[in-house]
Amino acid sequence: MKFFGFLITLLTGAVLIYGTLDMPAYGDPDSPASRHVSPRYIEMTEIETATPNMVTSILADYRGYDTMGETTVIFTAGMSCIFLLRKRKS
Amino acid sequence: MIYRGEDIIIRTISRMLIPFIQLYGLYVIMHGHYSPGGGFQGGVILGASLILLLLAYGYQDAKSRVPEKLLTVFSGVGVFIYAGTGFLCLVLLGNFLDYAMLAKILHTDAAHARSLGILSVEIGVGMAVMAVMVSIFLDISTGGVLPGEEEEKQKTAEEA
Amino acid sequence: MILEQFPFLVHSAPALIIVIPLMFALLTPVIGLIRREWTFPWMLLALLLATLFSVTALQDVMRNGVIHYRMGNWEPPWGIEYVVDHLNGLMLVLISATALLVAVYGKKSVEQELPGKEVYFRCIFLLQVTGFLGIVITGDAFNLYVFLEIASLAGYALIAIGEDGAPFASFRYIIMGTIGACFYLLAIGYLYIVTGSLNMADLARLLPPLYGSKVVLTAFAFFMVGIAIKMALFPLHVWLPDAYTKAPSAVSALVAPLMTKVSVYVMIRILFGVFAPSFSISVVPAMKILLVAGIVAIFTGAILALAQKDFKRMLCYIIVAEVGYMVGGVGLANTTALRGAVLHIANDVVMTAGLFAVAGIINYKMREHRLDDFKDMFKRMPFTMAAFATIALSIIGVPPTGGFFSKWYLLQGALQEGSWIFVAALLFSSLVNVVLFFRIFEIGYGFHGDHGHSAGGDGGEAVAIREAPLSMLVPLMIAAATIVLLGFYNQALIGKIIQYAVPVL
Repeated sequence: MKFFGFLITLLTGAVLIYGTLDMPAYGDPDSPASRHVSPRYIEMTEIETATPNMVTSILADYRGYDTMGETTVIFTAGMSCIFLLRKRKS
Repeated sequence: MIYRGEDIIIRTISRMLIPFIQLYGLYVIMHGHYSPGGGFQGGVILGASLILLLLAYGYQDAKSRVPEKLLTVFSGVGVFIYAGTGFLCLVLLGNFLDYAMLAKILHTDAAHARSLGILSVEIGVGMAVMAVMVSIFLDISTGGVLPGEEEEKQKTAEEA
Repeated sequence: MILEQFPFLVHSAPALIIVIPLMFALLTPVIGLIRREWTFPWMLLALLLATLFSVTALQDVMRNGVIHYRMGNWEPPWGIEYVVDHLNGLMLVLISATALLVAVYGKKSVEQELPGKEVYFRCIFLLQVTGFLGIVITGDAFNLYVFLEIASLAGYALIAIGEDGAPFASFRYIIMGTIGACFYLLAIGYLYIVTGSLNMADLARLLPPLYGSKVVLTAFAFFMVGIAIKMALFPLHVWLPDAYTKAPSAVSALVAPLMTKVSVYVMIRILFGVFAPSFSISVVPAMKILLVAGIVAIFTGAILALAQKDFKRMLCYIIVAEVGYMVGGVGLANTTALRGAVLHIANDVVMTAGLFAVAGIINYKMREHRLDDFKDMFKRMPFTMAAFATIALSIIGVPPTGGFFSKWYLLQGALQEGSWIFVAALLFSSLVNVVLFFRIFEIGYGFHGDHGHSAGGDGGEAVAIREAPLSMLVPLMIAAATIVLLGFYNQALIGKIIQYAVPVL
């Protein structure tokens, strides 16, 4: 059974590596990831959000809704811990 | 259980360090616009300072500063600040999380309103992350049995 | 609806569907600190509003076509977009209405099973519903993952609080579920590398030239396996029976019907929304694999269900078989079968919720949920058992109920495709369901064959009527009535909603 699990893990890894064969080169400035949505974030962040740090402007504004979800994940984790572990009535 | 710390060096150093750690945490939250940082990182630093307090002084002594009910409220209210900022934009007849709408009440232009919206959101994230970290730490380290009032009295009696 | 007089509310409905349960959930612990009892009406209000806005959104879609809602007013590839079409409009209504019913139903059982933990239960319950709704409504692949995380995390917590052995069952679910979610995330990452986009519609536009690429093929495989784990497709179902058997009654009634169906929805969305149907059907043999997986799931689910002595566990294996119906229906890859699969999602949400509600009522009365606990239940709880019988007939597939019609469409689809094995699997599982449920009816009536009226108070052995509390009974009756109505109005449902929900293949 252990061997079987090991085999599956190897297989999954092999598939993942197989997938990387067609990927654009690492750090390629012409790759789709850096050409499609990124230029607007880089060029417009100062004008549109008055926030020089584009990581922050993407995180909290352009994709702010995802960040709200992630914060909710953290909140859920905290509430789950209280729900499962805390014995004293609060 | 988190017991009362005995080591005077740890307690003294923590007491001296904690204000600076917290100040740095606040700086990281507020400075997310210009440098690496933001709500998550700053919140973790703030949370770490409180965990240090708990480790050095034990839950009994630190309780007055970190009551668990306050942590629960903070984690809810922190995320609520985030969602509430978004909701405020919706109330101002914009889309959800469209901070540009905040310009109507902040008397600035859209870009700066967005900047301020980001700030408000980061503060909410910071509060939530800090409170949840400490709350999870409390629950896991004590197995969920937070020392009650009775136990506390007994312990202080024993120590005396 | 009342809301139509406020066009702005109708416009904002997609956001409000998610944001209202979320904001209510965030404040639930605070409300709980003030007054514990207030959290229950608080939760009901949130779910009621969510249902109201879901219905509004669905009506809006039926009248004016697909709704696009931009979060933060950023246009799609840059920001996050909510897209409500007929398919997820239907899912939204199903999820929010089910959650509302289960919330009412769960009040008593939660007070009995989890005394002192109601406040946090209600908070996490709302988060769970938020997660489901968020998964369904979003038009952004990564945003889907975020809400998948919320839903999964809340689910793990809710399951772990159940009876003995629940933490271990939940832990197994965590391991499996996390692998599934990771696979999904890896797939998104791979697609992002070659397209630079996370928006589903944008991906659908950018992907066709890349269909031969190894990256896209790998991403597709990881999407499918990840989702298959989440929907408990055989043989990746091993986490499901333990987790849903040991969860508290109210949790089983919420999570068991919704998690698997939401995952089936995600699968349909990825197969036909992110990738083009032509890719999913002809470039990769995905459909054939799904068909085979569905058939195997139906057979094994049905056989394993026969072997169970515990009612809830039996239901869990029925779910495994039902997932097989839907996956197989999608795998048949023709319009009729696909419509049947979507109709079956709707029916199955109602049926599974109803059956787990019955299990919860049995558990509330007997503190157990074995098949033997049904002894004399027809006399003791005539209304509960009447509702149970209706839902059971639907799951078997007896005509006026909804279950018959979705099976009928699936059957027709299979015949069109000439897939006799799928036809055989459907019939086999229906037969097994007959055996399963008539065994319970037999136990429920007692073996002596005295089919006396339920109000029998004459003989010494007669059992007094001890119905379930009204707050548990009424939601169950509504579920039973809904499944019959779904049967009567299946033409309308197909004609008005489902035919626009699925692509014509």
